[in-house]
Amino acid sequence: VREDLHTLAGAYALDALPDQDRLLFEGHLARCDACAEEVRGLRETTAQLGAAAAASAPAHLRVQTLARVREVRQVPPVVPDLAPRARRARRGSRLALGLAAACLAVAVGTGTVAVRAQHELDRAEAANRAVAAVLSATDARTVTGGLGEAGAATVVLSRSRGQIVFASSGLRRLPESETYELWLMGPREVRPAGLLRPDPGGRTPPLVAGALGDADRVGLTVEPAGGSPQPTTTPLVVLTLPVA
Amino acid sequence: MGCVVANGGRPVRLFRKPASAGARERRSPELDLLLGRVGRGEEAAFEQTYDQVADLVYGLVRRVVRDPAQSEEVVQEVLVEVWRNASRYEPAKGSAMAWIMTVAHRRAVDRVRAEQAASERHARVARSEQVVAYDEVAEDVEARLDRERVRRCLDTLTELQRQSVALAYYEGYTYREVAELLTVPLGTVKTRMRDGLIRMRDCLGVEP
Repeated sequence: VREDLHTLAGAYALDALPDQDRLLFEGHLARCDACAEEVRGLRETTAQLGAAAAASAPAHLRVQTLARVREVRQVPPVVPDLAPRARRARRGSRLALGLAAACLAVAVGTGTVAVRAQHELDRAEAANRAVAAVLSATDARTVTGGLGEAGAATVVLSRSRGQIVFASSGLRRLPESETYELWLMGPREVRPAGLLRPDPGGRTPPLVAGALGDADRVGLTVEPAGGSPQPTTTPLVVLTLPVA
Repeated sequence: MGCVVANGGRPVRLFRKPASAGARERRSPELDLLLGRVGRGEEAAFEQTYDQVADLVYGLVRRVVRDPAQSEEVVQEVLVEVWRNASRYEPAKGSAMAWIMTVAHRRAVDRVRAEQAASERHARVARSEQVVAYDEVAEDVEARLDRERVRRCLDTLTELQRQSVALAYYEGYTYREVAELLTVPLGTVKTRMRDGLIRMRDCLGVEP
């Protein structure tokens, strides 16, 4: 299967892999320097394919984009070790009141699944300041996706905090030998973001993960008990994180 | 001549006939440096970056997404992401151009995949193939030379390599969809995408 994975380098560089395959390949990429090197060369190549399609961008787009950028905070550079998360958590709780309203406003736009999952988040927030801090961030955004037949996965992310909160429902109970694992997926790497254990009702309590870095997706897989450094199975769900 | 790929039996013209030949090194050290300055929050550097890449990003996104209004949204997303994540750009891992175009292509593909079921996209491609706005193609000399180089290199690929690469890259299809469209096995498409791109890379003289 390894060898087979390697042949996906072309499809990967063309962004032609569905999310599941992409996650698997990125896991492989993290352990294979030769593959990473090949992908780099192929990305330079596809960039030229892209450049060959150049067309004049409308002038108003320049004005809009430059204006937008002035309102967007940049992510900090990657540093070897990030400050402990606990320090940020302290600030969250007094914002909890505004939180419910903010989340509801977000959820209304994304439909009933979101409302239900969001409601779960709201309940748990009282007990979890770190969760509240993300949910109450002014730039908090919600993404939801279906999970299995009746389940849902919800991510609330705050780019300014560089964190997400993940919650889900409808997960089957796993044998002792397995666990659910969450992943932060970016253009360069897939990072483990925590292990999840569903309650008897199939729900997982809100889990805070970060630093987000340049992660643009969140995935959930089943892994051997104790978790894996890289995903080894096809994700049950992959959620794309909005940019802004 | 031009480059023609079959798309479900219908020909799609990818590039207009070249007006002149030429070759040029794409990697621009200036852009790499510029992006470094963007990472340090210099708005002026971002403006310069915008001016260097906006037509490239817009052309690519437009090519994949097609709808002008949606394309503009995606282009803005891409450039905001460039601004936001510029501090994470590492020149050792590739050119700034490749970094930006990768973001652009991924966002464009995300948009079309999120929006449409495969069947709708077939219809969309069929519908719009003759309206692809070639009159909007940037006509400055550099862009024309780039296009000519790429076209010439695409011509060195086998038909199946070229179709696999073009359908994935310019139409945003997954390799499974490409296999379906070309009625060839999945494994064949995977391999053709890889060896096709490798041949393109060697033809273009890309340094990884």
